[in-house]
Amino acid sequence: MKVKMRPRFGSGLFYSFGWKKNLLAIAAGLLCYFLLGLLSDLYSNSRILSELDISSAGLPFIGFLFGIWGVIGTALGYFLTLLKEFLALSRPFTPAEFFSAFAWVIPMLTYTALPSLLWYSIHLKGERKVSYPRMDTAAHVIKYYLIMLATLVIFIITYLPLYHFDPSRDYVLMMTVFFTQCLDIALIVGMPLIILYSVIRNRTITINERLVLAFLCIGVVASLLAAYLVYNTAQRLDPSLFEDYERLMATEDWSNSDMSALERYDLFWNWYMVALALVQNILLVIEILFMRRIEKKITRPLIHLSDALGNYADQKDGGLNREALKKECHPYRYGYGEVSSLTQTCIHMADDIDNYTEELRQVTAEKERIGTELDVASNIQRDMLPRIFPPFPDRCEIDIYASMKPAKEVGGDFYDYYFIDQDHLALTIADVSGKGVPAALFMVISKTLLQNHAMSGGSPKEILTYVNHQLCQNNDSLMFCTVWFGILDLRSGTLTAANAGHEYPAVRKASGEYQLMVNRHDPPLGIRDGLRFGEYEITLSPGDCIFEYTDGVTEAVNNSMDQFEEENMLATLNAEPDADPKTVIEKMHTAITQFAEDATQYDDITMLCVKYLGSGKAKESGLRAHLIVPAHVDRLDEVTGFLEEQLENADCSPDDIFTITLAAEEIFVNIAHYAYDGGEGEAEIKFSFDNDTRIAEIVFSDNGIPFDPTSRPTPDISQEAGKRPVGGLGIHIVKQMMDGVHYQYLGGKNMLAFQKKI
Amino acid sequence: MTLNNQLEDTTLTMAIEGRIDTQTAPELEAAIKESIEGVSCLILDFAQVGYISSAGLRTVLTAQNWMDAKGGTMTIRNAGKNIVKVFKVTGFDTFLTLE
Repeated sequence: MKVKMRPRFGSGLFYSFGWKKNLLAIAAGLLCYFLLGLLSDLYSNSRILSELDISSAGLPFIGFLFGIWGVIGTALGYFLTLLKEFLALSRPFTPAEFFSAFAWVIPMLTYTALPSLLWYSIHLKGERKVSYPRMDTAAHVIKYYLIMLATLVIFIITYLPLYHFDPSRDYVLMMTVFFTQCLDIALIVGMPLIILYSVIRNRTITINERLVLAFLCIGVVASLLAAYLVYNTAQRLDPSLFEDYERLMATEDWSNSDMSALERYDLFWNWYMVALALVQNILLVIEILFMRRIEKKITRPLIHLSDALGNYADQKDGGLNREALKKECHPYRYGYGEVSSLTQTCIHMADDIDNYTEELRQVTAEKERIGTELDVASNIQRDMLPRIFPPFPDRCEIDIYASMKPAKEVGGDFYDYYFIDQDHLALTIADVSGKGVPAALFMVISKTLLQNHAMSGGSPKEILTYVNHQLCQNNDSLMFCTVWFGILDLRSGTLTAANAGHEYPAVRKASGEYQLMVNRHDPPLGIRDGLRFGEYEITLSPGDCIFEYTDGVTEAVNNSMDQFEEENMLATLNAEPDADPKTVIEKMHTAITQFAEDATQYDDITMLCVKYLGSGKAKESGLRAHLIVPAHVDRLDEVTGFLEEQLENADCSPDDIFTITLAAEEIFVNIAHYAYDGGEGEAEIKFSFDNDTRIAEIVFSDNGIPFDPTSRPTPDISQEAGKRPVGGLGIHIVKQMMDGVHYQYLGGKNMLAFQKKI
Repeated sequence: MTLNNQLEDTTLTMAIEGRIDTQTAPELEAAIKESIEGVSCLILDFAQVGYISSAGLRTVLTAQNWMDAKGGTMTIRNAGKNIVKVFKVTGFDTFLTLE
């Protein structure tokens, strides 16, 4: 055992818990002192604790358990006993008694405090901080044993001059008895006490502590055997020993009796104690050897492994750590079977963890890559849907709006519209079965096939029949797609449509209500090859509207899993039947959101709304143009620039360009200033020019506050400059310079139109 | 819109070039207000003005009122055919001095 001495008065022995606990420790020291006194009385009923007896062996544990404060309590207890004795004496102490009483306290307190002081001052090698008294390692057991040994020796040396030396007894014999019995108690009582303290503190018991207890039990049994042997031997050698001693004790006649009885008895007692101590100490040596072996082969490797594993787990940098762990484990690979196999398992586990971590890293990276690519894919897919409105600004026969609000996952809904030729507009809305990447792929194929085939001519039924045939080829995954496909003839308003398993569109005709148009229904595309699709025809009049949707609309659910249903949809449509397509779709989104509350959206919500405005303005020869700008005076140049360009195309004279742009400016500035009451908004300008009549028409519309500028009274222009009103001039100029000015409020819009023949 | 001022005694000639519309009218108004201090005769040269909107008319009216208030005169020179037409349509010709 390598030790280094370092007195540490600040720790352990002298630690202060705060005054309350210190007082408690003093009280505990006091109490223990009296308890030991009581024990002493039971053991030999005539003496106070200042005398030599077996209960003195308990004193060091007061120091061990309660520190310096316990020692102070012990001293207090001693003085109290002294006081009691003084009071009983009913006369002052003689100087000799007084000296003896006070002198005794020094060895006693030394004996109480020394073990604890030594324990905390001796620093074992490899110990960062001195542990409280424990029996967890062989080194601690040896340390404890040696400290007790040293304390006893010091005690006996300091005690020697103070002992009431009885010349009739052999002093060396008495000291041997005292020494051995104190040592025995330090082992048999002290060690379990210390283990108990440690168990209470740690709530667990170590292997070595169990071993100590086991050896102590063996020790007790062995001691009893040894004691019996000594007792038997003594009786055999000296049969009258105990009788003589009893007689001596009974008569208490020290002068006349046979003093050899006492000597013989002391000799017996000496042998008796020596035998006990011998057994205990031999067992202790065996125990320590045993413990050292276990420590070397089991405990220390376990602690080392546990530390190494802890380090490995704490650090995140895999590879390096594994090597460090392997290095740490290496010495134990060929130890005892269990330790060796544990070591092998640890190394194996570290390898596995590293491999697994690496795998996980790769999988995560891969997952991230796929996630990113899927995002890109879903963006591409979404971008395939036309999203610029109005899509055909130069066509005033129709107003189109559409939207797709995707659910979380990539879905397969789509809408589409495009001109097949000058007069025929193809309209599509479709829903591919399933979700995710397969649906998205199938959607792209379906959309491309439909458009490609539509562009090469044919009626809706022919187109669907052909596309169905195409989709059925190699469709092993049995994807399918519901499609409503229509072709609108803008000249006549005739809509020819075919429906492959899709929802019935809602149509509003002749300023009536929106109604579901229940017509021929064929199976979805991609299900069976060779199907012949049917088609139907309806005629739209100017102002008629058709609303197409996917099941994301009707099957939107709320928290109680009720569906939105066609009824709600139609009710929403009919709440404001005059609304333009954009408003229709926005209102529908609002209605669905309100209905669904915070329920998850399971399916894409896709809508397409087309209003037929009639072919009236679509002259064979003429010009049409369209502009939407934010209603702000800063954008005035755009408006005048746009009109100037259009008018120049119409071979308009500079004078007419002047007057028309002037009128346009007045109207636009008016909208910019007043329509949105200071807020943001848009103004829409439609320009049309008829080559035959040479009439240019300009229509301004906005979604702002309803206001009819033409209703303003004509300003009195005959007044003098000082009295003239500043406002009202603009619309006056427009009225004066244009051939016709008309205002109407339609579908939530202010519409102001003026014409000029040029 | 660009302005070119020429001051002779108390006569200020402002040659205006460009459009007088909603955006430029406030600019013109500020320019006039700034330079008519001590001016008794304001001449606005419209030779290079191609366009005037009601906002421009408002500026012209304001300028006329300022000049009237200080007992001065205001003349509009060289206004083009279209500009004159606007003045006529709005009745501005009744109180403006056009040359």
